[in-house]
Amino acid sequence: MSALLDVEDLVVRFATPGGEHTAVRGVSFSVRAGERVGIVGESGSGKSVTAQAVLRLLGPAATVAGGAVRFDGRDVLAFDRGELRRWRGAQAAMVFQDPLSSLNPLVRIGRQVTETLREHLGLDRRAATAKAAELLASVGIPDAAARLREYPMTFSGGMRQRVAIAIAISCAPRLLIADEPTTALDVTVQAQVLDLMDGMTADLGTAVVLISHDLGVVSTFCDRVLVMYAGRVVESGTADQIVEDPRHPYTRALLASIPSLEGELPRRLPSIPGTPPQPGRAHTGCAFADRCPLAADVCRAEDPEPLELGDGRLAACHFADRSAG
Amino acid sequence: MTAPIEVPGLETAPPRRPLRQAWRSLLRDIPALISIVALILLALAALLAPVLAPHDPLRTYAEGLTDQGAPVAPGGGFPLGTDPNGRDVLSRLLYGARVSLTIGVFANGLATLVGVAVGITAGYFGGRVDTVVSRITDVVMSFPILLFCVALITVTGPSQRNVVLVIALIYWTYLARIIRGMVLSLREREFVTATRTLGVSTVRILFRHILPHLVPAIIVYATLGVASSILIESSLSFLGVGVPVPEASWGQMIDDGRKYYEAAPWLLFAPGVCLIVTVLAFNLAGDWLRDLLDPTAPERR
Amino acid sequence: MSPVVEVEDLKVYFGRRRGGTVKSVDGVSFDIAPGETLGLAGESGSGKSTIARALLRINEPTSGRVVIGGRDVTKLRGAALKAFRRQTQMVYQDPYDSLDPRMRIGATVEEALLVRGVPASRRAAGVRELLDRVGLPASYARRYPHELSGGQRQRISIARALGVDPAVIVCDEAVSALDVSVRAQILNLLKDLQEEAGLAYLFISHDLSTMRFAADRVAVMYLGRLVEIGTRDQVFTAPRHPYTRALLAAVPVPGGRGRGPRARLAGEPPSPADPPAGCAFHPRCPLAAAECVTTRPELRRKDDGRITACHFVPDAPTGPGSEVTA
Repeated sequence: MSALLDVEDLVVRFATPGGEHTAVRGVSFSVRAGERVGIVGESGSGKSVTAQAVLRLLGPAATVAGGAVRFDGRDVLAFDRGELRRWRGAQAAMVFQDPLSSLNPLVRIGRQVTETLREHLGLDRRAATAKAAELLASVGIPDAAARLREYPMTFSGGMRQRVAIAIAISCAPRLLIADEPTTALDVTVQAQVLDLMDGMTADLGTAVVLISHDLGVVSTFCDRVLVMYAGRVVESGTADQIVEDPRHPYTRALLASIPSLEGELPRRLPSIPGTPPQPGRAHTGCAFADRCPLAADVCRAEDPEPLELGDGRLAACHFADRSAG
Repeated sequence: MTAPIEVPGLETAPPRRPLRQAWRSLLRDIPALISIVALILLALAALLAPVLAPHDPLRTYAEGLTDQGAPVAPGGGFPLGTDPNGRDVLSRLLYGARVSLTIGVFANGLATLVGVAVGITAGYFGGRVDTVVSRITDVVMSFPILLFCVALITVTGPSQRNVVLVIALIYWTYLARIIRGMVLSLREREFVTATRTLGVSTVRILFRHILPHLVPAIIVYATLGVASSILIESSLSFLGVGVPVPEASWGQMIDDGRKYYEAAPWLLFAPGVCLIVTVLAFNLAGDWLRDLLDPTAPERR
Repeated sequence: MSPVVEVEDLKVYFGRRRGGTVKSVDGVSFDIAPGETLGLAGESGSGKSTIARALLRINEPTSGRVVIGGRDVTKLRGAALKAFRRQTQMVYQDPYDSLDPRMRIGATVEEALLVRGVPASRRAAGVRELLDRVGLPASYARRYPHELSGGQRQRISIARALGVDPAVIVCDEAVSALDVSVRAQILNLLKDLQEEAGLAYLFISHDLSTMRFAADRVAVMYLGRLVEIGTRDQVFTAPRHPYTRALLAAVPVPGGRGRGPRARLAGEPPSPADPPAGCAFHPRCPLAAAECVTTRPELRRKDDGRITACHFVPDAPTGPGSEVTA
């Protein structure tokens, strides 16, 4: 089966006053049509930068220094401005953590929704407005036609995220990238928004890349999960594989450090010593070696390559083929 | 030891070196560099005026006037010529720099002192103090500055001291407003709340936790304020209510010179150029300091 | 042991510019024993942080009593207020804003010792000892906050709080901004310190799995009022109030659930400026009946010792997996 999105050996560098640093160090993954792929990682792991690079949304300080991004076989990194405009919004859309920053506070909701519709679907104003009301109603906004005339400030956080989702799916994109879409929301509202994304993308057959620091959110939403650490994918597999049989010591430690909601609790939580590496700090060998309980000499000398574990699983660890201790 | 030590990740982070940072940014900003050099030269000129001045600035020289009683053109014994009273223009410029800088620095220093104190009080304590201060600044800022100064000096009588006081009386309001706004937002920062709930005294909070955050802004606005104060002083002297004659002041020299503009243009140009260069230099230096210290931007990390 | 914190019918109202009042906290009572952690759970707007800020006298309570160490602290002024401040400390949510960025770590921690009246000659040693207690090397005293990671900054916040030797520490979302792997370290540190010093914690968090690890007892808030309070096991294993149940059901647990709808509740928490009549939860409640619209249920102790504010909470204990049905 050919992939809808194919990211190969992506490298992203940032120019900072202190020099250049590499935020994404050779990330590869692919997303099939209709598939849901989750990217989990802590701050500085490069998960958001990866998403921005895929949609060509990187700021001026960042450059893609290597690798390829292909959408439907086409080279996204070679798109000119016109191709990019036709592609983004229509075929590939994004939802951000804070809808307040992606919605313009001074423009009525209606115009922000119809803008995309008119641009990509060529609807006239009346048709676009009708469609916009329909869209808002479909994402669960009561009294949608009237609320089109309101400004983002009058919407609650959950409602704003619904609007952002409505805009993102308005042209039935084939790929939706959602970067921490529920992090700013309360847990009961998060559940609603995840349900909404679930239903909308299933109906349209849209593939989703869901980025989150929360393994719970990602593993319950996605088919496959990538775990990122210090700019690399350290482990990937199906959501069940990652949660039930993690092979990378980082994934194991991450899962262990989340207190469960039922069963016995330890007196102390198993924690990972140290802090995630500062972006841009050069290191030889495995980036996790300093914090890893399994670290041996080989880990400090050589950065492990992703190791094929069968069933389409990958883990970048010298000891990945050993069972969990 | 109760918990694992986190890996010291930033052991190699360079300590902050403000002076080196300032020097580097100055080398990248040529207008600012020139301004700083100009200000240093100006300060030296003012300080060393008695040594540098070729003549007595107040004395009328016989050879300073032509046979027709007109000012002598630049060159010869008088490098920048003489004025209609036969006094040496260069010497008067040097002494005038003393007057301008003294008044600029003192008037603005006083305004800064009062403005910071009032701004902090109003911003931190709020309530009635704040209301009163805000209304006073509103009223003062709605006056036409120059007219207000002229009126006040006419009442109090022109003298260097009165010029300083009158300028300070107006300018403290500008700084008080800025400082008040900054303190209002600083007061709500969590580290201030945390310090307050620790039981730290209010005086200590103001001096150790609020004031250090205002220093960059104070430096920047004080620098810009010197330029404004010098301009006001010159305007007052130009209008004849500034520094009393025969003391040399740039504004008053411009006033003198403008009547002889066609016959003796140097009389207008010499003080005019000095004034423009000085004010421009203070403004450019202030802008550079603003970029360097960036008082309005969030903390640099 | 007699409680170190007793809160009785605490109300914190805020006036609004456009008129009307927001009842941010509306009649809340609880107590905390020495060495105990009381968790305060709820969504945004529930009034959790307002309670924290009222306990520390950052916000003035409108009415009610807050007794800490046997003394009602709501009316304290001047020197008595300063003396009280030493008993109750807070660790704040934002590790980037709760330390003075222009002060070295050592000076920040030393300030606590200064407040406690430790003489200058002994303060340097005191700073070293405090840093050691929170697991940081003494060399960190010379650093500035921007040179530290989020977790390290929270350790400094904790060290500063410990510096005045408090009896109660309020942790207001103290680990919420931290990465998961670092969060566990700080939670462990808080537990260790509690055992060492017999500290009482008021642990505020929107994250229920963190709450389950940290708290001995849990109080659940909705729109300024407590809806349920009980031991950790009572609340997490057999939640009674329909809101507590919905809250727990909404937490995504790694590997916890197959595909299917997650949300048990429609709508969002209403604004505390305009709370619904009767039970504030009734517009979203699957059990809501006519009685709920008209009459506000009070927090009541049932025969089995469970405390909830709901007209329809069953008296008989229910098992963990049991569903709320309308």
